[in-house]
Amino acid sequence: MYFFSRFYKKYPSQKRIKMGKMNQIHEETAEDRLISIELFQNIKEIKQKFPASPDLVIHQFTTGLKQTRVALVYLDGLTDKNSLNNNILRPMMYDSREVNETPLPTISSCRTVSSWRDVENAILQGESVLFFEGQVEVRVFDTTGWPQRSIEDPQLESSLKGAHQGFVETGVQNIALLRRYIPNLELRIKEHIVGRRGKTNVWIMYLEDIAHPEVLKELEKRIEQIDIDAVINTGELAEYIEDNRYSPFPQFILTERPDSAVSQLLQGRFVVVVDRSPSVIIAPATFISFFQSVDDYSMRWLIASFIRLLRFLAFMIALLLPAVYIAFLSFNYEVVPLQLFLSIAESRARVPFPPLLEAMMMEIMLEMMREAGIRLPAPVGQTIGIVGGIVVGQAAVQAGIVSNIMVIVVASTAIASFILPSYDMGTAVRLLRFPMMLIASLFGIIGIVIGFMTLLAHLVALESLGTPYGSPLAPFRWQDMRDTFVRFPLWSMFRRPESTRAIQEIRMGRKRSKEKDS
Amino acid sequence: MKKLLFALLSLTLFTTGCMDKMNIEDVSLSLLIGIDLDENNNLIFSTSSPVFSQEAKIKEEVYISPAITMRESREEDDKTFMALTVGGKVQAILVGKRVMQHKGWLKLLEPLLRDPKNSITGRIVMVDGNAYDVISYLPKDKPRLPLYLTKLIDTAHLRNICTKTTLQDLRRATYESGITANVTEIKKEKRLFVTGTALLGEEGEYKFSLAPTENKLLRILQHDTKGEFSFTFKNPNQPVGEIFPATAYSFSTSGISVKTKTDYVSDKFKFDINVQMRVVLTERLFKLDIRKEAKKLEQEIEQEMTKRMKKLIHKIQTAKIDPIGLGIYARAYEYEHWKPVKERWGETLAKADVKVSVKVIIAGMGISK
Repeated sequence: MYFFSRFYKKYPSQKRIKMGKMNQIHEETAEDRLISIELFQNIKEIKQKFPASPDLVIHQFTTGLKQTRVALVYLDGLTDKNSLNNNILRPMMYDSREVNETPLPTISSCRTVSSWRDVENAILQGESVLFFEGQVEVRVFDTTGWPQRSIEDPQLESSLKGAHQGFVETGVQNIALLRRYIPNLELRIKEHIVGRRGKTNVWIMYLEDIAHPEVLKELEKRIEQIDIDAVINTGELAEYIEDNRYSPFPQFILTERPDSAVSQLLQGRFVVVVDRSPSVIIAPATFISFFQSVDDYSMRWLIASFIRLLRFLAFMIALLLPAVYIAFLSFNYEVVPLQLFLSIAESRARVPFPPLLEAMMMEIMLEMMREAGIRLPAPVGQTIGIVGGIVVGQAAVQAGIVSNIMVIVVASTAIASFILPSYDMGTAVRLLRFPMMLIASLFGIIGIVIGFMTLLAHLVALESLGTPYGSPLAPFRWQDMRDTFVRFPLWSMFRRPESTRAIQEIRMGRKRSKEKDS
Repeated sequence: MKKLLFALLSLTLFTTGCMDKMNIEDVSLSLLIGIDLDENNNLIFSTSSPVFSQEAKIKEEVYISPAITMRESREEDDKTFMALTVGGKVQAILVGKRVMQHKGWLKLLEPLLRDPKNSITGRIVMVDGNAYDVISYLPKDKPRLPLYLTKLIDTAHLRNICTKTTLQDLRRATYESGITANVTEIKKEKRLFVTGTALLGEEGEYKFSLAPTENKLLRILQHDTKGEFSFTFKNPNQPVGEIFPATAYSFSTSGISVKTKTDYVSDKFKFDINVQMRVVLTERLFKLDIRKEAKKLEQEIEQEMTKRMKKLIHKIQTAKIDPIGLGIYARAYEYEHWKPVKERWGETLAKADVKVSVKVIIAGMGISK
């Protein structure tokens, strides 16, 4: 095992100490010291605290009849200039000349703090801070206003009939988007702050009378336990709180669609909104929930069911088709009908590689094309499609590098893997295809069966926030089957899914379904 | 992480894959297997397997070799064939008539039944002549021979010109004492013909052949009424034409129901086979108002049909075989009496009383009057 221990080597101890020191310094700056009564003292202090910050603005002026000296401190770019000029500077510098008392800015969110830590935090968050000569308290105004994106159609999960508003990078706006759907007092929001440096606001949203308190406790516990520098993206947070670190499957739904998030909230799930990230976590997730899309519920149920079944078929194709191809060509040629066999063999005769290598090559080529397509800007991205189509489709066959059938297999796998509404599940399937191909080339159909059984065993054992991932298939829940392979009519789904452990079961007046019964 | 590494390591160290891995391009499929006897009664095996290379001008490899058994002939084939000879996709096993005339030739097919990698859905075909003549036939206006031959047999079977017997069917028929086997019969002159059905005895030996018209009757008697049954009869009551056959008429069936009743009366088995047919007239060269005189024609068909069936049954009884499978009925309904004669069922059937009655209803006369 010595050989492997090299991979596990810890960081050299010196580095560790350096990192520790950095943390100590960080802690020191956040020390709780009080504001001085002298204004010039405070300004000096501020300048010391923000060295090398050209975007720091310290605006000194006098206000009121008494000509009190004040200083407004803020970070340029993080603040809203309009409200700064009109609502703070204007009343204080002009309107207050005749008033005897300390003038008040016309801004609603205003608080008073007296410690340096609060002042620092406020400035860093984009608030503006007003120091008064002769006062140990400072005013903090919420004048935050940073560069923002307008609300757009969700890019990753487009839908035909769903809403066309997607989440944006501002957490409070995302909360507002969700609140718009559920104007109900039971919609609760719990705030947590994650990251020592990043201080990212993380909000857990849930419906108090539906969601299970135990799941909430677990979720909160996991979020509180995170002790890191900063969380930049929702995906990062998801990785820190997920149940199984080695599973290829996504254990939370990450969505940028408010409508799908709301529908999950109503089913008794939790939504975690992460500030500065345009997607939210939905937890607990089940395997089946990655096959559901918002469109399913706005289409006729027969059509929605058909599409749902199509997705499961696509899942199987994306996962198994190349493996089946290899198994048939390497071991079990007897199961291929003769006519097909002859045409496969004819096109295979020119190919100098064994089936595994042929399939691997094509699949990797496809993955490269997909990845290249993402990274390139849209106008150039099309070129990839054309070049890839010609190279992979036509030329490779003509050059005798791959067989015709292989191209068809690769193309159908690619199409099938993009049908899944969840991008995360799609990538999981695309990755799992490779071990499947490998095991198929070693053991044929038996290998595929072994691989698939292993996968099923893993899916059954997997949990999301302590809730079974395989539900409603394992453990089997008859009630939830109404929204699994087939999307039953909405009026027949009067219960919330058991898979979410919702404490309020019924979600619909049963008048209509009772009428149907009688 | 350690666990995962261990798992991967053990996978790569301890698994080398199955030994029977064989890529599709390393396989030389024996699609046709021929069995013949030469003048000195030595077995001759012949194999046809497709060649996939684009450079090859002829896409078929044929090798004819003397060998003791079929398995040994594979060795012979591997001496010359491009890839490894396998029997997983055998489409047809062609057996020469001279082989079939001997009892016990079925033993030669043993390796196909023993090795599960081999196919048991290959069609068994008797060749009137030499099987290797058929196998080395390279028709220019047809797809490769194995495909052509199987298609030919399958479609001929749909029109009931011949039976289609797979190795599995043959095996069942030989192990089953209540029925004897029948196989497709083909002949190669300048081209390939399906000539009908060859009837085999209890031990697989060739007895006699049935022409397509007789084969249809046999199929009806066997209760196997799938596919199309088309007959052309001559009406004896009509004036004969000078050149053109003015007495002829054709019909095909749109529904046949067959009932076989079994009885044992005065030390003899007795079978009553009732055939009910709904027929559609497809051709008629004489004048007849079917709307009024359908009964007449129906009776004629009934008589002719009964006559032909009786003739067939007589032939079968003289040959002491049972391709109809009446033995299965005997066992099912008269087990007490069947049990002692089980081993010599052919002879017993020869003495049995088999009656056939046909009822015909003209269901349609086509779209002209």
